[in-house]
Amino acid sequence: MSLIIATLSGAAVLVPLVVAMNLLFRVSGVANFGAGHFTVFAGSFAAYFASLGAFTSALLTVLATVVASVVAYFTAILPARRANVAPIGLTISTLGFGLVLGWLTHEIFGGAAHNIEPWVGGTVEILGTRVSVQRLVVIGAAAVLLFCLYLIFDRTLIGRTLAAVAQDSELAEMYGVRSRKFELLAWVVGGVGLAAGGLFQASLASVSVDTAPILLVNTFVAAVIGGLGSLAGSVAGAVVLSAGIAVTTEIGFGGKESVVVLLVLAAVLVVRPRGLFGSGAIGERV
Amino acid sequence: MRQVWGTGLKMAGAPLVLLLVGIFSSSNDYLIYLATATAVAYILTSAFNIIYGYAGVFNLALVAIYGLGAFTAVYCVVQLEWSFWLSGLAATAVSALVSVLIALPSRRLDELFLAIATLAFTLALTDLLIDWEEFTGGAVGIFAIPSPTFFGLDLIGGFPEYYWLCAVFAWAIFVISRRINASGLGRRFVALREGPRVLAAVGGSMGSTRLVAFGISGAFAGLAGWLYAFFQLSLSQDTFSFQRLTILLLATILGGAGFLYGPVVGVIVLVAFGELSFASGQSQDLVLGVGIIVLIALGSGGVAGVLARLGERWNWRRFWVPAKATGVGPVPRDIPQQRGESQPIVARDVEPSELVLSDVTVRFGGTVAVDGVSLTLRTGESVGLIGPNGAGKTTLFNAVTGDVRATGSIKLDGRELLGLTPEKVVNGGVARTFQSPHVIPDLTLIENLMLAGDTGSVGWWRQALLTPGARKHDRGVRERAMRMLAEFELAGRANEKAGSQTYGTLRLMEIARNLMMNPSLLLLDEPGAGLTEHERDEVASVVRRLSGSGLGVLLVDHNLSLIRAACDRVYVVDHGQVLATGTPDEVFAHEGVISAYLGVPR
Repeated sequence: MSLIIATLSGAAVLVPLVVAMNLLFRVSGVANFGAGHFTVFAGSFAAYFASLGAFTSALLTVLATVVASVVAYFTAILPARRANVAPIGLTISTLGFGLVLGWLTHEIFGGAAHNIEPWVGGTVEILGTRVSVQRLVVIGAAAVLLFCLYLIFDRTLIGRTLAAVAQDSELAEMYGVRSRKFELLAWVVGGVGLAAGGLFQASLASVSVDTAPILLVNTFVAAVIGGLGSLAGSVAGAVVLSAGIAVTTEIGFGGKESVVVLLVLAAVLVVRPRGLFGSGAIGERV
Repeated sequence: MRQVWGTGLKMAGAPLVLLLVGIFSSSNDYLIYLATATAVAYILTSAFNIIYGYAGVFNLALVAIYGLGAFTAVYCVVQLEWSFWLSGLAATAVSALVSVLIALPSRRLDELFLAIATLAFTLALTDLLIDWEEFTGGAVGIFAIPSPTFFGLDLIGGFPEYYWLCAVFAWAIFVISRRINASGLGRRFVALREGPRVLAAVGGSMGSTRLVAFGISGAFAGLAGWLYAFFQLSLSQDTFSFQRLTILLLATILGGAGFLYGPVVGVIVLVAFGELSFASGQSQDLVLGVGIIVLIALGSGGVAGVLARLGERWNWRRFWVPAKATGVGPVPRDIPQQRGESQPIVARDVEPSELVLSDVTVRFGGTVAVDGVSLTLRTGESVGLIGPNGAGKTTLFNAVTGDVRATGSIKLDGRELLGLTPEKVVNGGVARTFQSPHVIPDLTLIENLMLAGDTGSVGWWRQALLTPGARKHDRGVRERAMRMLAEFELAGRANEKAGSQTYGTLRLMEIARNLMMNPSLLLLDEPGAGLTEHERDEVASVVRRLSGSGLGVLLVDHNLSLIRAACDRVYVVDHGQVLATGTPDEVFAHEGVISAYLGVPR
């Protein structure tokens, strides 16, 4: 049971981060190399304003991270896109923004590790395993967030338009869709995901500027395992990676997460080079 | 005279700059430290420029390879008591080998997937090596690394003597990079980046070109690691750190990935950023971050790209345009500028050859795209393959050239082609063009043609070093490519980038590129599509001249007047099956063909 809880809580942190990564990748063609710094910024921000109360600080954190995300879009993406910079250049530009955000986080909140006090204290026993209520709250919050995103993406016109822009922005524009507007929307929704990931990580463990690369790599790896595409792929990637890390810790190899991450990634990519839910072109015309 | 100056500047420019930097900074400890660090950083950045800038492989494991080279060298000297020079060889060899080992399992991965996998590899290798205390000194690292000597002269990191050592290696790497840049190997790297299918279409192997790129970049990175270890005289896990990876990426991309001078510019920009951060008292991350955002927004190609664009505007091409766009010689005088329709396109002997397709079937899931097609094509004839859209014509081409899996039998002079890779089919004598011309837009027309002549007798290492034999081969290929362009009346555009050419020019260039490989049979996929009537007449004339020169041509097109003008025999396919066959007149009078094209009931 403890293995399942560890897997689910690990996945709860990763899912919003991976969803944000996938969304930006599909809509903008950009792999956000600043994602780790966004996550750390969100967690540090929430810890800094914890005295305002759990709800208010969480709300402010989401707002601040969304603002940071929008600023990233207008400073690091839009000018470069206007200069016809290729997606790989845009990706490097997000790394630049990440460095600035990392510096800002360090200057404002300091370089030490930050964590958030549990929103709900206490523990409960599930099938003989004692689990903190906060862990269950985070798993539940991630599930609710995921369900809301599913409803937005799958059941609303906005979600379908986002999917259309992600699939073929030129075609979407021919049907009157302003793709830049929806690209900005993707950055806003991505900001919400990154804020949630930061909040969850800071409430279950801690965040510091030094952990940004690990958070980034774990997010990337989970996204790639899932196949860099669908919501289902995001969840699958996050769960597979979290399960790998949880099993490693369980059998006493804690501290070797990076090796496990590589092994899980290698195992998936050897079998499916485009990830679990990725698809290759079939019978492509040449 | 101008050419002599240019050549002299190319040969002496780099050592002169390194000499001046050494003389200028030798009296100042900080400057000599900075100059040495810059020379080492240049070597590492050149490694990334080879693998990413030229070959387009986003291999983030290079920083781990660099660290591995550093620790390997120190292990050899401290634990095995090898000499400093031998440790350099070991570091370079181990790094190249591990780099090639990374290339093998990652060959099927796309750009971003490979980037993430190699990034995860870097973190995992770092963790594993930190645990191997004897090798890396664990979390504390290794201190008190002994300084090397050279004929009794102490080469101590931070002193001018060590700078001269690094400067010599930086110069050597620059010379090798320049030679790669100007060689067939450089062109193949660019083809790997811009159009892997083109590489296969000219008989080049994507797999081995990729391995060579990994090997060379790994060797460069190992060399940089070796020099770094004995420069710092202490090593820790910071050697592999994410920040070092970030700086490596930035130096390559900000300098200008794929440009010969990109790494030089990149490390200078980063040194400038470092000094700016030091002078302004601001964090390096802030200065780097803002610098990246601003430089990326200025456009692609980094600083070298900006300078190249300015250079093209003000005619500085010689210095800033990637050296792979090397100049072309004049058109040989014995080549006629105009060709009559009756004249064969290339005077040469074509070995009689026959391609026989028997009962070829291609399935995509439940869809049968090609259903039991049989046909023959011999040298010296031009055969048309027509049919409505979706009839399976291009799929049949793809089956012959190894692009899709098929069943049945495809034999060239009795030798089975089914199951062969596209490059093996091409090397067997069957070349092809594509529905949309497949070219490398960053290369000039003549370089696109030379790609097809680069495979052959000269090995990759001779090309990389541009040995006299490789130079001679290159000159021969260039001359042949120039003749071929002249045959198609494209010699005047030989030095223009393929990306700036019209559709019709690219069609002809693609045919010319195929002829560089001396094929027996040529498959042309809709060469008349998107062309004007005049251009189509030209294509018909070219096809006639090709078959007149002994080549066998299989031509797919929708334009029936082109087919009638160019072909001796025609096959008609519909719904994946052969509907009719015969001379153009016989086929066009066939009721089934009229029905398939016009929808009239049979």
